[in-house]
Amino acid sequence: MKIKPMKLNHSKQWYEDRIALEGDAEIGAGTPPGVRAKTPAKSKVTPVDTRIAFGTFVALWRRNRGWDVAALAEAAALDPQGILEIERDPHYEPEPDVVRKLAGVFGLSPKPLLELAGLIKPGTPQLREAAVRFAARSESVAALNDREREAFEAFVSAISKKV
Amino acid sequence: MTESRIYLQRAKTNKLVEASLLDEVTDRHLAMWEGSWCPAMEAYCEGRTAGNQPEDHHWDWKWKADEWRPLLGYHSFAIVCEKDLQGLMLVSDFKSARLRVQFGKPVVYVEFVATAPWNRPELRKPPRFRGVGTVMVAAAVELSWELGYRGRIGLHSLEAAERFYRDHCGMTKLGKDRGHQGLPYYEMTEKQAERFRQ
Amino acid sequence: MIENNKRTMTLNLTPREMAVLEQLASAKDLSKTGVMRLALRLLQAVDSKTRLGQKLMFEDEKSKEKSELVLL
Repeated sequence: MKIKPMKLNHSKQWYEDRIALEGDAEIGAGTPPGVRAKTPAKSKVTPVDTRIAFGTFVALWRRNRGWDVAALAEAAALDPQGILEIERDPHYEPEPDVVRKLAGVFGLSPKPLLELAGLIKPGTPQLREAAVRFAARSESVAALNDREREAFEAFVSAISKKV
Repeated sequence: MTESRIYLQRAKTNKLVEASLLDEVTDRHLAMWEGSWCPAMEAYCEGRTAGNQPEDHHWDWKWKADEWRPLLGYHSFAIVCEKDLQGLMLVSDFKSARLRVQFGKPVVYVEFVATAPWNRPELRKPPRFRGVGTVMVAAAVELSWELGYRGRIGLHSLEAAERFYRDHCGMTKLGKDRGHQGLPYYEMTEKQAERFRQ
Repeated sequence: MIENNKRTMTLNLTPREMAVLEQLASAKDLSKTGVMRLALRLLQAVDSKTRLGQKLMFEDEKSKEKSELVLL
């Protein structure tokens, strides 16, 4: 299958004829009202969705530092098994104290991380949406690639702004 | 990104005006959407009940952009004329045809398409430009052709736009789709695409 | 946007996989390369949703019964 950059090459007459047919007709197509809201406040992001982002964030933060799970556990004075559960199982609900300790190591306010972990009531829906987009762009491979680093840094910035 | 020279019609004079079709919606286009379409739409919707508002007035193209950009199977298009954004479209290329004559064959599916608020006769009389729908259908058909799908496209038409897709584009209606909020689903066959391109 | 700078890859398939690829190419009126590219797009789109915790479901049109397609 030959692929080349897509270009339209219709004659001016073609446009004259076709647009005359279109006239003042309405042309909209796609998802109807009520299915997608203009603001993320009406989204259906669940606690599991944001915990996926939370776990991914913890893993990427750790890998960005070149740390294994044991090193992060030692820095945060936490059980390594608990960190593994956070990174791998979105259904696992960590203790608030665990999240606070991780926030301390990351140098971030605990509030947005507690929200992502599903431990406190969601504040702004924008953070949850940012978390879901971040998780979608991140892969769980050994080293951060440029794309992951970019996504990671943007997410840290988003979390920091929500303080 | 590829730019094609296209034409829209200025409604006031019925004369063709040169415009550009871009095969990628960029941040610049999204900024234009936010800076010009949104205020115009808000102004129109103010004071109107939900039933009297355009069906797509709530669409958030910026939010949608974050979803589709990482994915190979999505393609976006923008029309710019006289330095203003005139139309936006998002399509996907991995859905299958439902029409019996082409059942199971891949189609370019129009996820969303919209013309600028000032181009809509229901919002402004006369509208500024005509032809955004024609250009966008042509773009979807051309992409379908380039992908080897021979011009096959599909879409769920907003109810007010059925006349355009059925009568002006010559597409086949498959009926209201209960899996898609009851919107009517249309497809264009290879033969219909060939006729449309002529 | 269609990109122009492509790279070539050699794909080793079993006879059974090749038979499936040829059957799909015929059914979908695509080249074998076209089928592989379509599969890649579809898998990426599905994967992006399942990684957010969503499931890929099939629905029986008549009974409305849903069943899950379990992926990888």
